[in-house]
Amino acid sequence: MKTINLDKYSPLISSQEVGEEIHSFLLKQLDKHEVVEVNLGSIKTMATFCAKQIFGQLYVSLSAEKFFERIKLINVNEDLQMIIRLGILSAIKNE
Amino acid sequence: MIIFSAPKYFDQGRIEEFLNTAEPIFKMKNKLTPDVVFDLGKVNRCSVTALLVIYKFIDYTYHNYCFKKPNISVSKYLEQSWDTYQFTDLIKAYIDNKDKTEREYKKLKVEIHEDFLIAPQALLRNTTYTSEKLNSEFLPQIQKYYIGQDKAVNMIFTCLSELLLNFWEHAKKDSRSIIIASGDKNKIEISCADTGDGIVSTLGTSLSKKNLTPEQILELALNKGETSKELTNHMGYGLWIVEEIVKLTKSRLHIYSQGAFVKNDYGKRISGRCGYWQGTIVTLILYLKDPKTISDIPNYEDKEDLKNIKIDFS
Repeated sequence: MKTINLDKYSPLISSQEVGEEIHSFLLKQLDKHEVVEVNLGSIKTMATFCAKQIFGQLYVSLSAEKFFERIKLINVNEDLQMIIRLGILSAIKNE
Repeated sequence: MIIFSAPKYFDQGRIEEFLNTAEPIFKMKNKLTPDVVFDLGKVNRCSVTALLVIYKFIDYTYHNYCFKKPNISVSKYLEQSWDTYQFTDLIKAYIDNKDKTEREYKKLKVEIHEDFLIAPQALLRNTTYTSEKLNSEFLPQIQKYYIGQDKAVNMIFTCLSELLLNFWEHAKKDSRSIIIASGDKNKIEISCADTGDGIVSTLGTSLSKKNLTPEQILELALNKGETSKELTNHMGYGLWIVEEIVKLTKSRLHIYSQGAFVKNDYGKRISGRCGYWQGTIVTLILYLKDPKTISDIPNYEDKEDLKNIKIDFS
């Protein structure tokens, strides 16, 4: 399992460019590692757009089961959990 | 002689009046109109948004060659406010006809006294500069100022992240979007303004078949799921979330774009027509006494669907 820290983007993820960078980085890690743990402890919040861009796209491309098995999100505050859920649900609806 | 003047008490309630005055500038591009006076000599009170709108007026008319050697008269009060909010060097560069705005922006700082303020900051696209500067300098200062008010910080950051993304996405043709903020322990005021593609035209394009008025388009911009970019990562949740938080906290959200406005004051929404402003102006005044965050929003129609998404939050 590989643990990834997003400290360098803290406390706010709010631009398309940063979202794309994180999404690409996670995809590369998933190519190399079976399970990727993402530490979001320093991220206070992110724009719903970025939640969809990062986690929504991964959820749809991996499938629900694989997303659950292969991606662990740690130290995620309650609001950020909701934002990630909203991003994923919107990606599912766009399918 | 053409005279543009700003109201004596230029607070949030007078923005529309100024937009009516300013409207002709958007038809003066490249005209180098002579004998223009910009009369700021009577201004005796000014909100953060009003300061920003005055700055964007000067910025637009300078970069679009609207006036030839305009005369600007400035009140003592306004001079002091420009100093306090760190606009002086930016505006002086225009008055002296030596545009060095980007360089000047990099000098701007967060000031913390009894109140705090974020000096005007350019939202530059396609550079990591703005993102890094916001994250490394500005946001930690907000966290520090509101230490012990974690929920208030979460609320502010949630609204900020949605507003920032909205501006970056809607203002692609104008890298001169500006954000400014000031606050005290009870409230924070955040304002963004640009003269790029306004919400009315960007969202209106995707709604063109519906034959909507500009104010109806602005109202729709606050609805959940309304986006000009369907089937992309855009969700159309950003402004909806901000307005929901405004309603829950009895705060204020004002949006002006391309001849229309929509406002939510203390939970009550109104919309209408105003002077044409190319681009968008957004003001958010959040009251911090009883902060609310995204988890407090009660109106998710998809609550069950959201709960059923399997995510390993270890």
